[in-house]
Amino acid sequence: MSFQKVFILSSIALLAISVAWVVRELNPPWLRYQEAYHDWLRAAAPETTPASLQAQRFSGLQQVGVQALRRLDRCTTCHPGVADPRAKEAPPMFRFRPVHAQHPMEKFGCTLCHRGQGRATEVPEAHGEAPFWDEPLLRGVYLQAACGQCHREPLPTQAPLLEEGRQLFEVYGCRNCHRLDGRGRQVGPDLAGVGSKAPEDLMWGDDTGPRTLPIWLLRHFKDPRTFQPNSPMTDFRLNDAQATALTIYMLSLTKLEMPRALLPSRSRPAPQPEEGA
Amino acid sequence: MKPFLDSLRQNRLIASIVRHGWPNTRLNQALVITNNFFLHLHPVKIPRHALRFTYTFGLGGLAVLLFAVLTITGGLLMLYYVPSTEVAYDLMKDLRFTVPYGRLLRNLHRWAAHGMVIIVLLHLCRVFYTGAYKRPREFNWVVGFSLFVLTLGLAFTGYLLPWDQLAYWAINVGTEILQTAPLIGKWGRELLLGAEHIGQNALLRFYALHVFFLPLIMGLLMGIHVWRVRKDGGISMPESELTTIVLDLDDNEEDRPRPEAPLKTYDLVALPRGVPVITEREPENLVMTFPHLVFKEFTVAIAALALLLIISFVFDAPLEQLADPEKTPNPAKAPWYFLGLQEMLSWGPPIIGGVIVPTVVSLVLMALPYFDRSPRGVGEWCASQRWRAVVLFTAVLLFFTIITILGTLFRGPNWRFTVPW
Ligand code: HEC
Ligand code: HEC
Ligand code: HEC
Ligand code: HEC
Ligand code: HEM
Repeated sequence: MSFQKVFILSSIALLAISVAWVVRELNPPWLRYQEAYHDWLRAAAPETTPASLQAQRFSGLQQVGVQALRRLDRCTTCHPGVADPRAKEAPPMFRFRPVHAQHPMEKFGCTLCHRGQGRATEVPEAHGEAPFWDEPLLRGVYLQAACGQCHREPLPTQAPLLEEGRQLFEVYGCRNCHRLDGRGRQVGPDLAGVGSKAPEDLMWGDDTGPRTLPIWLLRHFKDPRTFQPNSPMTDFRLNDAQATALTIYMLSLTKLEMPRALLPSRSRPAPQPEEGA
Repeated sequence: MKPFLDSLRQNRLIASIVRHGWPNTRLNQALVITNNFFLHLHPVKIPRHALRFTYTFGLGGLAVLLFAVLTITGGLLMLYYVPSTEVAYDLMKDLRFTVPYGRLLRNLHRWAAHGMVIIVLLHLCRVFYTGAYKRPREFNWVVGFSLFVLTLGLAFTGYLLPWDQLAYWAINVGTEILQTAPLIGKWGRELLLGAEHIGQNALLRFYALHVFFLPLIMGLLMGIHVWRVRKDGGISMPESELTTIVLDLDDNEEDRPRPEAPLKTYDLVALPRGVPVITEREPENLVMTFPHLVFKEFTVAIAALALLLIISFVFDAPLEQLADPEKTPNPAKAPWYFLGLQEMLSWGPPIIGGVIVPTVVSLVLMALPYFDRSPRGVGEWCASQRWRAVVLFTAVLLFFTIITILGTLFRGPNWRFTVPW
C-alpha cells in the first residue's frame, strides 16, 4: 500500500474514532433512565411539576455522599424518585419507598444498605456485578441483611428473616464453635466481618457454579461439606427458610464501622467515658 | 483557491508567523524545515536511503510521538490525581465514570505507556539489526539504552499510582526483585519505598519520580539523542550509498590524506564532523526533506494516533479492587516487562535470575558498540558479515521473549504451569 493511501485511510480512521469518542461522551448510559423518569413524572403528576420544569428531561449527574465513611453514591442518577414522595406509583426502579424516607439519602446514601458501587454510572458496574468489585447488590430478601448493620433491635415487619437468623444463631449454639462480638469458642473462624468477605476469600473446592457470598453461605449452611468434604462444622439439617435466615444474619455482619451518628438511638452502644459524651 | 492562498500570504499576521511562501519551490521547501522549530532538527535534504520506511519503520519517531501523547495526557491526569492512598483509587473511579473525557485520558495514557515500552524495545532491535550503533554512533546507542531504562522506570513508577490490587502487588513483586541484589538491594528498595513496605511514602515517591524526575531526565536525554542522530551524520546508511569524497576534519589523524574542499557549495546542508559527505551523486541521491520525509512521518503519526484511540475506545485500562496489603493475590505478578525476571527468579537462587543475568545482559548491551567494533555491515538489515552477532542477539532476545510470555500467560497459582485458555 502506498503512503498516500495509508495517509488517507488513517486520516479517515482518526476522524471517525474522534467522532465516536465525542458521541460516547455526550451520551452517558444514564440519560435514558432520567428521560424515562421525567416522562413518567410529566404524565403522572403534571400539577406537581412546575411550569418551568415542564420541559425538563434530564437532571444531570446526581450524587449523595456519606462523609464519615467517604462514600459517594451516584445511584440517584439512574434511580431518581426513590426518595421522592411524588413517585409512589412510579415504575419499580424509580419508585418511592417509605424506608427511603426513614433514612434520608443525604445522610445514608444508598450503598450502605444496597451495596453496589456508588461511584459508578453504568449498569453492571454500579450494581457491583462487574469484575473487580466485591460487593454486588443485595437482591430480594437478602436486602434485609443491610438493616442488621445498624439496627440491633428487631424490625419484625421490615426485616423478619434477619430476626429469625439471629434467633437461630443462639438456638443452635453456634457460639460453641464460633466467636462473635468477643464471645464464643474458637473452633471455627471468628465471624466478625464474614458479611464483607469476597468470593475469593472463601473455599470453593472444585465447585464451578456461580460464585457469590450469599450463594456460598446458603449452600454451606445446607451442607457444610459441599465445598470441603472434611469440614468439621455440624450439619444442622436446616431447611431452606432457616438457611436463608442464617445467611441473611451472616451477611449483616460486615466490616463497616458505622459512625455513631448513623446508628439508631436504640442501638447505640453506651458512650465511652473518655468521650465525655 | 489560488487567490485565496495569495490573500492569506498577504495577511500581515500570517506573514509574521509563516515567513516563507507556498512550498512549491525548492527554496520554500527548504525554509519549511529551517524556519520551523519542530522540523529544524531535520536537515533540509536527506539521502534517498533515509526515506525507506522499511529501514527504520519510523520506530524512533513513534517513541517520540508516544512520549508526547503521554506527556499531554499525563499533564491532564495530574489535574485530577492526588497521590494519597486514601483517595487515589476513588479518583480512578471518577476518571472512569464522571470526569469528562477522563476515560479517554486514562485509557490513552495506559495504552500509550505499554505501547512505548514495546516500541522502544523494537527500536532498539532495529538499531541492532541494522548495525546502526557502530562508529560514529557508539555513544548515541548508550544514550538510547539509557532511554530504554528510563522508559521502563516511567512505566514501573506509573504502575503504582492507581492504588488498586494490581498496582500494589505488581510493585510489591517488582521491588522484591530489586531486593535480591546483594548489599544494596534492601537499601535500594527502602530508598525507593521510603519505608519497609509499600504505603503512603512509596506512593508519594513513585509519584514524584513519575511526574517530575524521570520525565525531566527523559526529555533531556531524548533531545540529546535525536540531536545526536543528526550530528552523527543522519540515519546510518550502507557504505555503497555513500560516496566519493570523504571530508574528514579530525585533526588527530594527521597521516590520513586530507580531502580537498568540497567541489560544490552546500548552502543549507550542514557538514558534520568526520562524516562522509556525498558529492557527485547529489542530484539523484538527495531528496528534499519537505515534503518527502515530513509527509511520511506525518502519516505514521496519524496512523499511530488513530490506532491508539481505537484501542482506548475498545479496551479500558485495568482497575482491580482497592489495594489491600492483607490480601495477597495468587500468583502476584510484576508488570509484564519484568515477568521474564520473575520467571527466572522462580527457577532457583535469586542471585542468578534477579541479579547476575539482568545485570550482565544490560551491561553488555549498553556497552555493545565498544565490544563490537568492526565497522562492517552498517545500514542493512542483518548483514551477512555480522551473522555471529545477529545470531547471538536473536538468541538472547528470543530467550527473554519466551520467558516473559511464559511468566505472563502460562503461570497460575503458586507459579505452577497453566494454560491461558
Ligand atoms: C446506569 C444506571 C444505573 C445506576 C447508576 C444504578 N442503577 Fe440500579 N438499576 C438500573 C436499572 C436499569 C435497573 C433495572 C434492571 C435491573 O434490575 O438490572 C436497576 C435496578 C436496581 C435495583 C433493583 C434490583 C432488583 O432487585 O431487581 C436496585 C436495588 C438498584 N438498581 C440499586 C441501585 C443502587 C444501590 C445503585 C448505586 C450503587 C444503582 N442501582 C445504580 C440502573 C442503574
Ligand atoms: C436504609 C436502607 C436503604 C437505603 C439507605 C436505601 N435503600 Fe433503597 N431500598 C431499601 C429497601 C429495604 C428496599 C425494599 C423496600 C420495599 O420493597 O419496600 C429498597 C428498595 C429500593 C429500590 C427498588 C428495588 C426493587 O426491588 O425494585 C431501589 C431502586 C432503591 N431502593 C434504590 C435506592 C437508592 C438509589 C438509594 C440511595 C439514594 C437507596 N435505595 C437507599 C433500603 C434502602
Ligand atoms: C446506617 C445505619 C442504618 C441502616 C443500615 C438501617 N437503618 Fe433504619 N434507622 C437508622 C437510624 C439512624 C434511624 C433513625 C431513628 C433513630 O435514631 O432511632 C433509623 C430509623 C429506622 C426506622 C424508623 C423507626 C424509628 O424508630 O423511627 C425504621 C422502620 C428503620 N430504620 C428500618 C430500617 C430497615 C428496614 C433497614 C434495612 C433495610 C434499616 N433501617 C437500615 C439507621 C439505619
Ligand atoms: C462443631 C463446630 C461448629 C459449629 C457448631 C458451627 N460451626 Fe460454623 N464452622 C466451623 C468450622 C470448623 C468452620 C470452618 C470450616 C468450614 O468453612 O466449613 C466453620 C465455618 C463457618 C462459616 C464460614 C466462615 C468463614 O469465615 O469462612 C460460617 C459463616 C459458619 N461456620 C457459621 C456457623 C453458624 C451460623 C453456626 C450455627 C448455626 C455454626 N457455624 C456452627 C465449626 C462449627
Ligand atoms: C525513548 C526512547 C527513544 C527515542 C524517543 C528514540 C528516538 C530516536 C529517533 C527519532 C531516531 C531517528 C531514527 C529512527 O527513527 O529510527 C533514533 C535513532 C537511533 N536510536 Fe533511538 N530512541 C530511543 C531509544 C533508543 C534505544 C533504546 C536505543 C538503543 C539502545 C537507541 C539507539 C539509537 C541509535 C543508535 C540511533 C541511530 C540509528 C541510525 O543512525 O540508524 N535509541 N532514535
